[in-house]
Amino acid sequence: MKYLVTALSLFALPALANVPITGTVEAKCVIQTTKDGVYGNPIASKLSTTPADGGVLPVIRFDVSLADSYTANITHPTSFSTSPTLNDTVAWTGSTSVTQTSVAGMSAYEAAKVVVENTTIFDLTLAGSTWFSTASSATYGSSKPFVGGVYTALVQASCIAK
Amino acid sequence: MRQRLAWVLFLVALPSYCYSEPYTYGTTGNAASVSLGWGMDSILPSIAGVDINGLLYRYTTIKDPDADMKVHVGNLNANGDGYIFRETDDWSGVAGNTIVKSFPVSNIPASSWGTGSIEVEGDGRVEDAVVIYTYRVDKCYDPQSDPSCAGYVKPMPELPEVVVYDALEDDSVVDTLEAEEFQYDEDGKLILSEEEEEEDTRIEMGLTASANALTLFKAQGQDDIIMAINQQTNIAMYYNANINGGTLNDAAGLQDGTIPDNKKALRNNLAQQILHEQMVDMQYDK
Repeated sequence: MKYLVTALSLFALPALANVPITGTVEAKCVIQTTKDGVYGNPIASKLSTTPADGGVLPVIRFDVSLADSYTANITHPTSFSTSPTLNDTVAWTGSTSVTQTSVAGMSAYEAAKVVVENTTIFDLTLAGSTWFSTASSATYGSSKPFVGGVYTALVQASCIAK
Repeated sequence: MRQRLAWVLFLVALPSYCYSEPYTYGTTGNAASVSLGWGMDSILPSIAGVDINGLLYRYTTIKDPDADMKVHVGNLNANGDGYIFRETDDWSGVAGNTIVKSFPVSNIPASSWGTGSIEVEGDGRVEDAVVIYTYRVDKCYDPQSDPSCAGYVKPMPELPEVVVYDALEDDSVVDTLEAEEFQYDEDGKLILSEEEEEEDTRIEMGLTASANALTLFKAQGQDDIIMAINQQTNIAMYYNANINGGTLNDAAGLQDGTIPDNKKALRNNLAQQILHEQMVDMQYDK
């Protein structure tokens, strides 16, 4: 009798199971580097990506598949990521503009851009691809010549959900 | 383990050996390099089996931001009215800029693509236009173009038409065979009368005589040719040859003694003499 009670109590235990739920979210905003930039050295104290100064403008493409949901925030550099040791200050300037679009209406991004310090913000109101190029210039303090070596700076681009 | 790996690699690589795609792909040059209107014949390869599977364009608009402007990029439908491809960019109220667009197309035959153009509607202009088509070429569009194509049939050589002449269907031959003047025996040989045989004999003799005469003339002709050749022989070289002068002394010496008669020569001379005499006697029937 005692065994029967024990057996029945075993059958009465509740069943447990963990059921997974998975999902995938595809990126609706993708950033691609179309072209790397190159600093030109028109005078000893200046580095510039402007083609007139012998430089190459970097080009970044934003692919947005969801309209009016993101802003493109692009920050031009204010320091070298790699460089020889510099003992003086460097004056930085820069700007970002729309160079190509996949929809004619995206041309309005340029007029509507907002510049906050070193960051340019574009409201991506249309779905499609937009190409941005960033100009960057660095001038060494008091027009001193830059120290010989390799200089590298980074443009930071990010896609921010509204 | 290594054998299994080899089998796996073999099976993975097998499809690439068993299947070869009959398509090759390419891109055109800039169709709008010269003007904003272009014909497809001038940019696509002029071969059969070309399909267009993509289009890319880029241009820059120069305009007042407040102006209304539309740009139409398209190709007329070569097989009917309207356009086979048409895209419109509305630049109204926005600043000019560079636009880039690409479109996949579902392998539309090149023959269906009519004249292409970039048209501007409104105020503004288009600069630096680039229009590029991507295409696919089916090398088996005509299966007979390549023995590796599906449906290829080995061509048969064209046989010349030979007209066989059947003599038995020739009216002239039939009339001749049916003529009663000829008679044939059981073996199919022509039966000739005696007169005809005699006549044939005379003809044969005549032909023989003429053949002999011709042979004689031919031999005479050959003699003339040989004589002519001999006359042309350059014998001057013999007259021109010089023999060095000098004295040629007689070195032979005959020692005193007796030279015996050659008996064999004597016998031979006698035999010749006898034969000569017999021949002379024959003239007198001796």
